[in-house]
Amino acid sequence: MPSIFISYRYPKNIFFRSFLTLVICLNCFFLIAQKKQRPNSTFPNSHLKHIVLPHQTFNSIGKSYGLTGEEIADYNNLEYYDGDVIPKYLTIPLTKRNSSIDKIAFTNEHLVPLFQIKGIPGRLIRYKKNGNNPLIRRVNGSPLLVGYLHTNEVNNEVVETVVPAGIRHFGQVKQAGKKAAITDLKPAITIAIAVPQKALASAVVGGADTVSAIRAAIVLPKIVNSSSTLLKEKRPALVEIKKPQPRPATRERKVLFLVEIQLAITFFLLVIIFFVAALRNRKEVLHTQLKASIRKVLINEVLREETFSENLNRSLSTSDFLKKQMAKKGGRQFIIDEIINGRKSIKGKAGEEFLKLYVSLNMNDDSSKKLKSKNWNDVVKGIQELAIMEQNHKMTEIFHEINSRNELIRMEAQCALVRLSGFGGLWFLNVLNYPISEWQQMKLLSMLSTLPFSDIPDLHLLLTSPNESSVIFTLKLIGLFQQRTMHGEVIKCLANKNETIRFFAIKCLKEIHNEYTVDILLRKFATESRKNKISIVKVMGEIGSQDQLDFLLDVLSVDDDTLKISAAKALSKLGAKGNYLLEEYCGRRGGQYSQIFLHIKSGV
Amino acid sequence: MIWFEILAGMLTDILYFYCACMLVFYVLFAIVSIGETLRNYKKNNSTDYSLLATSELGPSVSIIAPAFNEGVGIIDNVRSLLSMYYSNLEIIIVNDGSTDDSLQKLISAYELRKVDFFIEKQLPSKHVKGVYKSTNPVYKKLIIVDKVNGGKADALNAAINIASKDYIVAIDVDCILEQDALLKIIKTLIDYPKVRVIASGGVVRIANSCVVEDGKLVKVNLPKNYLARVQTLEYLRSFLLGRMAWTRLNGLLLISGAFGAFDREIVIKCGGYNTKTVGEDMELIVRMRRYMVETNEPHCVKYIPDPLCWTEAPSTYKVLGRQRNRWMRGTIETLLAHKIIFFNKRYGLMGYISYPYWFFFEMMGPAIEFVGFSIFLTATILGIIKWKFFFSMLLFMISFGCMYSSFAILMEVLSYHQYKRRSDILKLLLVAVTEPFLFHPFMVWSSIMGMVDYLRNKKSWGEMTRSGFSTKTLELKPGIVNGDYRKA
Repeated sequence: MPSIFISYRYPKNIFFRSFLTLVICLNCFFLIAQKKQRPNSTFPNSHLKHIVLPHQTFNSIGKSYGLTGEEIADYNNLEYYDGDVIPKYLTIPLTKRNSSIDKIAFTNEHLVPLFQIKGIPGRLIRYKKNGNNPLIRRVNGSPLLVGYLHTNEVNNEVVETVVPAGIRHFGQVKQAGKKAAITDLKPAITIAIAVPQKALASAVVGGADTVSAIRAAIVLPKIVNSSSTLLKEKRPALVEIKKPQPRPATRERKVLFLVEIQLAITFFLLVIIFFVAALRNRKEVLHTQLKASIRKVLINEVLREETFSENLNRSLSTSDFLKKQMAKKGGRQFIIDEIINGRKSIKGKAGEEFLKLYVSLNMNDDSSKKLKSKNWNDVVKGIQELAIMEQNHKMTEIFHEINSRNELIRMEAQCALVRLSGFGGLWFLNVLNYPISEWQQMKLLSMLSTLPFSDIPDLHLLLTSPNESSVIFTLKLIGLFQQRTMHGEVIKCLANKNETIRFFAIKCLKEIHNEYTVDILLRKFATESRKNKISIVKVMGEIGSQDQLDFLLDVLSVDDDTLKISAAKALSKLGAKGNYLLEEYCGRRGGQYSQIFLHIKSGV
Repeated sequence: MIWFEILAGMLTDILYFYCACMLVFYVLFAIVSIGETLRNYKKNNSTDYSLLATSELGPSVSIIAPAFNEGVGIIDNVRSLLSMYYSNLEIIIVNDGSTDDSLQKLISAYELRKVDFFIEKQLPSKHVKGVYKSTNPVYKKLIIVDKVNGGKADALNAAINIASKDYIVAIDVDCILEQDALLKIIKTLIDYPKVRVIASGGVVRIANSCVVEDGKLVKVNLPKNYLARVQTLEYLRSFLLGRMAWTRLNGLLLISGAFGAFDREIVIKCGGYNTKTVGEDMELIVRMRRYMVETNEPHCVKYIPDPLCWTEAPSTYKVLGRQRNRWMRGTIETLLAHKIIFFNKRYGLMGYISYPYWFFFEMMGPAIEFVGFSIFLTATILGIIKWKFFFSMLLFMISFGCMYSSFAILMEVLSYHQYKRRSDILKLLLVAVTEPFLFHPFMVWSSIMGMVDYLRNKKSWGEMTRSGFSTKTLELKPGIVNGDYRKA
């Protein structure tokens, strides 16, 4: 495999390099972007501890702190899920999005001031020399205001705020050990956060823990003095995260769930594949055996005597294997097919015996039942069987399917009517609501062409049918059976708006022409489409006389190669004079015309 | 840097949306194709195709086959074509400036003589040096055209100029056709009364490891070569699911270059094959469809699920890479040449669904997949995305692929059931599992190289070396062809 990749070397290919550069750039972009998407904490590790209320979700909590549910989950090293949050407490990161130094709030936003509260051991935040550090400001002497929490909801329960020392919070506090650094606060100062409603939380500014944190206890203004007590009561026994029960649906779990579904479907498909394959293989073997048995019986009986149906019936009944198969639906159908094939391939008296056999084995009942089936395939099969086995009494039922919505049933019914009633069956054309495909027309004409055409019905009405495909079919029928009495009606079709109808009318006129046909066609020539002009020229070659030589010579001079070659061919068919004129004309014009003449002369 | 975050978020969402759309398309293909494939299969059971072969009333057909340096097998291939039973037929073989002895072999084998032939210049093509016909009436259907080399599209145009029948069937001369392939494909063209079928095609199958006797396929085997085997599965998916679904929706934009039938009148009216693209067969279908839409004629392009044509698939990474590279270039050239269709309401479904599908998923797909996967992998390595999530997503894609492939196999078993052995089905399923690791990355890479080559304005076809079929009566030696454009 690696050698394949090596085979693609584009050392100096600017496009390839550009493409790879683009890929790398996009990668980098995503990496940076992904990093930026994480909660942008100006105080890494600074956070609030939020008491989770009943029915609160990551999203609802996140929303109230200006963060997303996923960010909250991620910050707490939990997997994000949609349901109620299970842990009692959550750590809410303090970011630029949910806290600020200045008292600026947007609409629908509540500002919760953060105050230092005395009495908690920790670190001391020293002001910058200019004394203008907005992070820790003395408001009315004591306590100290450190900033504002922005929240959408006033009833968030916050236990404590943890702000590690030595962090560039709001760009004001410098790291410990440096100039204007944070030093230990002894004794610690606690700050109280006033929230508009009940005593929800406490904050402590301190720094005795491992991260040298400043803790802020948050209390209601009216109970600021009792904050320490409150803090003791509410101070987390730090966060106890219980194993979620039931297990929440995470992103990975959702994907894996889909994988499980897909694998289950795949397994199900595999079972069906092997089942169907085994069934089909078994069916093939069975059909081979059946075919051999039936053919053996058939050949014996058909060769022995002409009236073999009774013997054949007896043979089929005596063979255990065939008897068993006759009782089965599939086996019986296979035997029906074989009998029908026999009927189709053997004509005369022997063929009649297959009909007798078909009826004596009550297979006509099987075919009739299929007509009532809901499966179109069975209906088609039933019609086909009844028609081939000449079950004329079923014609009415078959006729009902002439305008079936299913085109295959419709087509088979049309064929069956023609097969059963010959030309008489064509009267379905009068009531047909659907167009007839070219394939269907071909099938019908092929069937009709084997019949004596003395009893062709009156086709006048069909030529004026609004069903254009019926008109085309009728024109083909008239041409095929040379119904010269229809000449006048066919001429009328030359005025039809449909180009294809006119085309077939021209072709039909070739077969049923009379002394007026050529003149009529010549009159039509000028106004006809290119395709029909070519057709007229070809017809001139077949039915024209020397009177049309000038016309064909005119056509030979037009600027259309197909028309030229058609005219040349037509001229060559109009006797010696036509050939002479063609040679003379082509010799005179030379060039392309010489090639045309040679082409005609070579008889290709 | 809010814009940065928004942009990154948007790009991530677009990638997810893209994947979701692709999966939805595949699921739709599977659902839509079921009805169409099974309906065709049942329809076949009650159709007597022999009528078309014997009836003089059937449409007239010209088979056109370009050949370039096919000397090794050309005699047998032409014999195979001549053995096709169809009453109103002519077979035109175009010797497209072969440098081997193809023409001499044909002349002596089929008793050919040069004839004076006036060629109507309906379509542009390079100079025709001569037209040959047989003096033996047994081969009266055969016409051999000797012309200056101009590529496959040019050879096909020359053949269309010479063809005189209503329909043309373009085939690759090295393909093996089923006995009734011609009947089935022509019947499709005349089977729809309400719309004009301008082109039709059928399923192309992989013939590697199959047994060929006298130019006919006598035994179907699953390819022994891994690459050919994967392509077998790929072709099953492509033809039985994708193409059938597009047929149902009347949104098909491609008929395989290996075997396709076209309405000659429309082909000529819309200017024939484009000689300036390596994707000439797709380009022709798109142009024919455009022509029909612009002239307000109801039309459709049909595909049938019957296996009609067997071809030898590339069995080495090198040749396969060239083939996929060319397919990608062909796709880009065609789509860019017809960009007017893109979300143009005038073109209906073609403008709103087919073209955008080809643009976003067939053309852009490999590049987007490559970029997306590399970002995903990098982000995982750097810890931005959890490994658990990475593997679960990977597993999701692989299991989806397996499910889709299994469905294609099921459709095959339910309809034409060519691979009868249980071991063959198991091998195909194994291929479905390994494909994402051993085959798919290479396909993506080759397609990207195709994009790069398109930008470099590379126009060559690339050599296609074949190893020949397993035969009983004839030995096919490795040959070089310029055919086989987009069989899948």
